[in-house]
Amino acid sequence: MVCGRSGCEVATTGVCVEGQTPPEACPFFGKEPQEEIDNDEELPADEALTDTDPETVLLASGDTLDVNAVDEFLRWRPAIFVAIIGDRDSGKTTLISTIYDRYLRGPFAGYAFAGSRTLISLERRSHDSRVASGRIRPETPRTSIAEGLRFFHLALVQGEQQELRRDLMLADRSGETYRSARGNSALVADLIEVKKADYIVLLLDGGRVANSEERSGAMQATRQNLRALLDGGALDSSAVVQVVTTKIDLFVDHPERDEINRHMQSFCNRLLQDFGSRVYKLTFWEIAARAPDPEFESALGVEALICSWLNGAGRQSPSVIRPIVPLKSEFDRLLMRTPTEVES
Amino acid sequence: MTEVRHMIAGLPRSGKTTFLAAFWHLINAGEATTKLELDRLAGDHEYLNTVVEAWRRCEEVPRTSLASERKSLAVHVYRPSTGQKAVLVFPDLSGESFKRQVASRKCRQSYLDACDASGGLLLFVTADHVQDDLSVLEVASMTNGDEAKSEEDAAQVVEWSPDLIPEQVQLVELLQFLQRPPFKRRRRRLAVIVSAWDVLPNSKLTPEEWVCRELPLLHQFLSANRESFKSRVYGVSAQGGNINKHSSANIRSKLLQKTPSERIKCIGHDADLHDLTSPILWLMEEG
Repeated sequence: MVCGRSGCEVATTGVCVEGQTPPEACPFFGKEPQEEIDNDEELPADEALTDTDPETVLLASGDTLDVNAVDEFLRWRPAIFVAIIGDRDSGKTTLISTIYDRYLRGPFAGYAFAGSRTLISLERRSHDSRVASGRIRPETPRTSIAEGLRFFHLALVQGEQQELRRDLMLADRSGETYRSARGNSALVADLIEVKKADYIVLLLDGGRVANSEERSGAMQATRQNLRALLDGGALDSSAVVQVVTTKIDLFVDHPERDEINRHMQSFCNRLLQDFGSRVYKLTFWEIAARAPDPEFESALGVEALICSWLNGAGRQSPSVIRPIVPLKSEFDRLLMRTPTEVES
Repeated sequence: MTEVRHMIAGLPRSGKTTFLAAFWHLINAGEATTKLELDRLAGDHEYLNTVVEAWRRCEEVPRTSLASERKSLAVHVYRPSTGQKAVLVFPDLSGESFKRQVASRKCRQSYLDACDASGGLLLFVTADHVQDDLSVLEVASMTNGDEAKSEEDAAQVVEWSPDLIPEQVQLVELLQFLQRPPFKRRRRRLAVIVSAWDVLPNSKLTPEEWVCRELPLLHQFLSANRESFKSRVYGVSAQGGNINKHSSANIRSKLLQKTPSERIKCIGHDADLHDLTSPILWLMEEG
């Protein structure tokens, strides 16, 4: 068994480097190695493309964006920033992956997928929930501390109206970092995504709420997160804060369902009472992004949440009253006399 | 005479080479009326002649290899209705090279130059495909909660690699590359060719409806990016039937009895049934 394709080891491995099955279907199969397709030109395969090869053109990585890449993006067009804050395993990455997965199936929340700068990272995060991963239960990889602050990007359009395009930037940071900031308010200043965010999503881990031993700790973690962000100066009266309880499918048939509801109601009331006046808006949401029970509605509550980001007004910048500067020179007054819009 | 460079893009086994073989036979043989005809033979057509021989015998045409991808195909055509002449140049890239582009985030300068030339893009997908982005939960709901795999099977966890990126995501990524530097930002005509349309003999779906149902991310992307891509979808059966090794010999013998050009089917946008030149003609139009 011989092959004329340079680098093909079909003779020893039985595997065609061109990907042909059976290998006999390959046009190089059975040819002597010297019978290259062009005698005067060694044609390298794509794997031989190196970064230093003058023929090589590097393309965008498709990975999550760092702060510099986001700045560059903002020079092109505005974006809606969402900071999703929660402890490890509270469902941050699952929420992001679920939103992406919905667009793989078609328009969602009245919006259609228009693109993403971070498709590769979205794919990587979704992999462990796919059949192709070989898993029998969906998993979500954790965001590591070393990755720092990264952003997922989704461009969406309402209907097919391109002028109604929205660019979502979903901040992604490890749960451990938020946990550390909760314990040390000096670290809050480093959470620049919170200051920038149009929406601050504080996750309350429904999995822990469903467990009576963990319930109080989970609620206090969310409460302390909010307090730390407020006291540390990351949030102010312009902030829109959404407290999102995840994994609510676990409550439905729970033997302590009434007890859980009572605790939840009380927790929300106290949060509103203590912090409601310190932010522009404090609202409460419930989701079950990836309920394992097939009877349970898929991505429950996620549509309402994403609609609130895409259709809402976001952070309310305090209105600044600018002093009226008297126009003294004829040059200044010229602008007042010049029509600034094209008359139809 | 205008030289028009059209790109042919698609993942492995999406039907690119079979389309070219059928196209070459159609304009060469004069067996059917077409909107574009061969003007004259010029240049090296050895590769086309090789693949068209297999096509005429109703055999699977040899796939384009990575090593032969630099060979551009130039076809001199004219449009009988207007007398317009053009040279269609197809840089026939292998499907593997598109897959590698998404995985390695690199392409060749020659690919960039070809994409920046004035022509349009034929993007191939095959109707004979399997859904490759199913989630564990979707499968569980299909099987009504019965776990299809045992715990033992679960030990065979597959780590993520770019090869596992679903087809429709790879295609969107290939198109997204064209929207940003170093590619020239311009509006391109894009004809999506759904090959192996014959595997859907009783389908009431139009080719566009099929893309909407089977490749919804790609469909949304094209609808939402009309300033970058003026797109149309055609369904094409370049062989006329499924002639892979699993299909019956009966199908092949029936196809062989037909005039080769009449095996070809092209569906969508008022294309004449056997006229595979319709999508290419549309790519050549202005605006």
